[in-house]
Amino acid sequence: MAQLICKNVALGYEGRIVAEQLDFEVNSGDYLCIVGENGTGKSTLLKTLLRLKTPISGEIRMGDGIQATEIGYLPQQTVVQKDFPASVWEIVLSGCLNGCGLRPFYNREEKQLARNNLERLGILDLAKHCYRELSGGQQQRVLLARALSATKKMLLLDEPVTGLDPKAAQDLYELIEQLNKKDGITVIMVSHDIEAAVKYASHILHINRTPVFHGRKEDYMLSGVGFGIGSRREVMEHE
Amino acid sequence: MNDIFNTLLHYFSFPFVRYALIVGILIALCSSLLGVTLVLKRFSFIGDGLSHVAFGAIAVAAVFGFTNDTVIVMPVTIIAAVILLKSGQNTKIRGDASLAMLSVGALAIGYLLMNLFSKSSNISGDVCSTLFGSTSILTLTMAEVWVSVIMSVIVVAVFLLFYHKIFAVTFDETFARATGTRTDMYNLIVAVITAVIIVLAMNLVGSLLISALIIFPAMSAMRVFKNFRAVILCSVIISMIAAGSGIIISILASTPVGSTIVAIDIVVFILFCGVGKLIGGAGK
Amino acid sequence: MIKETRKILTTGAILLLVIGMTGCSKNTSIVDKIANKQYGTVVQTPSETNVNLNNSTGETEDKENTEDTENAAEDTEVKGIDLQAPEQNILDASIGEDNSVDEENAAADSQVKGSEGDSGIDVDLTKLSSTMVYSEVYNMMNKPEDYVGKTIKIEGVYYASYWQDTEKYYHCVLISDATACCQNGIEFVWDNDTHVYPDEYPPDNTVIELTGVFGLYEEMGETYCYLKTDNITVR
Repeated sequence: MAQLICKNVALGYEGRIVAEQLDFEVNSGDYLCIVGENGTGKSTLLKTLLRLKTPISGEIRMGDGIQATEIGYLPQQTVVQKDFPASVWEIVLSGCLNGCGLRPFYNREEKQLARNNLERLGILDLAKHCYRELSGGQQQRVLLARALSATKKMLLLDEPVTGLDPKAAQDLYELIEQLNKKDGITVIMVSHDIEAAVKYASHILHINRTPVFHGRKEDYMLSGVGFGIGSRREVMEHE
Repeated sequence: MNDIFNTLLHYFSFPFVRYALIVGILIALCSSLLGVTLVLKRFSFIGDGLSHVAFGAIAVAAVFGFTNDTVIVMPVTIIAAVILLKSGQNTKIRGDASLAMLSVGALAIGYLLMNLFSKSSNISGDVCSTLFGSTSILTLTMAEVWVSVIMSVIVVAVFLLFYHKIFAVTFDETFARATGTRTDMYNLIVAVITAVIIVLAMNLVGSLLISALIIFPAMSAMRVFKNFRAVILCSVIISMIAAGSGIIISILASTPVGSTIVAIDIVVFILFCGVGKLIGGAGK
Repeated sequence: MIKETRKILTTGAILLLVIGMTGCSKNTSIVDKIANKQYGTVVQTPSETNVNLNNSTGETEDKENTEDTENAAEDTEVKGIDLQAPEQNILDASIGEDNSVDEENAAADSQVKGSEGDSGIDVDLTKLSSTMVYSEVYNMMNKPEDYVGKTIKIEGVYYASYWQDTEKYYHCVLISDATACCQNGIEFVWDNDTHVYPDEYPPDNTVIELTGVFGLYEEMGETYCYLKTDNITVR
């Protein structure tokens, strides 16, 4: 059953199209990785899926009883957050806000949900800690816990391992895989890390203005589309 | 010491001193509530711009001879706040420049109008008290006292009602919007409350010093405390103590009220910087 | 001209002046009008205030004498005797004082608490800090009805101004706030305006202390406040 359907979507800023002819579906339990080079519309697509931007043309539909506001979102860190005085608990709890409506406080269930999510990501002991004093990997876990507080079904991740050291990045990837496999949460991740995409994802959407590839990971590996990016990145890393 | 106490007791027999203390502390409370949010959202400059706009509005009210200038100043400042917020959401640089134009323009036009048309013989005095708030808080009319008290209560109530939303919007507007929080509305609420606070605080510290009232307590609290609620509570307490003691010192030592309060805020900030360094060093 | 002025003033019109302040004051001030029409502005900084006082001879001891004479003056008024002669002496004696020093002493004294009741004074502004004085005077302008009939003791800078519309001189005592950018003033009428201006009045910018009863009067359609005093001392 499709949770998210994109029909001939075109994206862009102020009338300038950065990506078009996007036609794909995401089913419950999928792990979709959106890859492509910088400036090819990956982040714009993500923002459009989150309803932060409206597509220039085409249609994005949610299905399977999921609301647009029930998507958990792991954004890239902003400058504001670097010195923000907030405890882990306050941040994770703020993920429950979409269930509050006009109620000015959190109820017992929401607090329990936040607590469960902290436990699930192994950071319950950090609850009282100050967010800005955590390591990069811990900060991402906190934001992931917040995203989980906002959703039960679908997570959107925007370059989640940017700025993390390899060990922390791998931990985070494994955590996301676990959420996908064990809890059946649909994952949509934007990444330029093709190796990890191929390793963890079930589906790949490779865009470069238009979709270059969309399908199962296995088919993607056979198609050879990804090698261009992968090899170029390797060259850059070697230099 | 006893003498000072007796003098103080004597001064408190004047009703305007009591009103000044009550209203001053209430205004300090309100301004520090949103201070943390404004600082963290990089909006502190809006406070500065708005205070200049409010000054211009006061000049216009004076020229047209309005006896109660809040009637003009409040709506004008709120509208300016909304405009600034909208323009700030577009490209960063343009928002900055338009803010500078608006605020400096309002200041210049306000001063010009006061010079050209004011019926007062004491233009420098008018301007000085409006800009630096030397004694305005001690010379409130009963109507102004009530307006200040009621507006303060409204500001506090709105803040408590939307506390969690304001936190979410401050910490991560994108996430809040993506998960269905009406961030535009809460930004608007923040802007309107800011405008109201600025109009109120002009009585306490004058329009040039308002930013200090908003920023210093928040910055001090952020040096020491590490979660949002504690920071807000602490900055509220700092702000209220600074305002209360500032008013008392200024009536005892005949210093201008506004600058005395800000001076205390600065001292507290330096103190908290030191404490923050000590705690930070030991804690890690 | 002076005769005319006296004639009108002795009818009992007493005025209050607010110098400055549309930003601060809601009442129209007669000095505002005077200032705009005749002088441009009447605001002085404290440094200017002392300019005219340099003909000082430093006879500070005369102060006590002054007060004695003052009391004498009060007594004589009751008996209906002409007051001009003793008052003249007061002023002659006191013009020579070094005002800037006395002003500072007074400011220091005013910090010390004092009882107001014994002298029959309701509001003793000389016992308050300058921020307090400024605010209290401002409040008198703002809500004059609360102060009518009260005896007020005030110390400040003397200033006289002439208003063309009524062809009168108005006398007032000015006080400034802590930043010295705002000034407030109260008009006073001395012994029912039986004194001759300028001969019997101190020069402008002299620091004076006076005790008077607060009152209101109407002139040219506006309400003004004033202090009715028979007790002026040059400090």
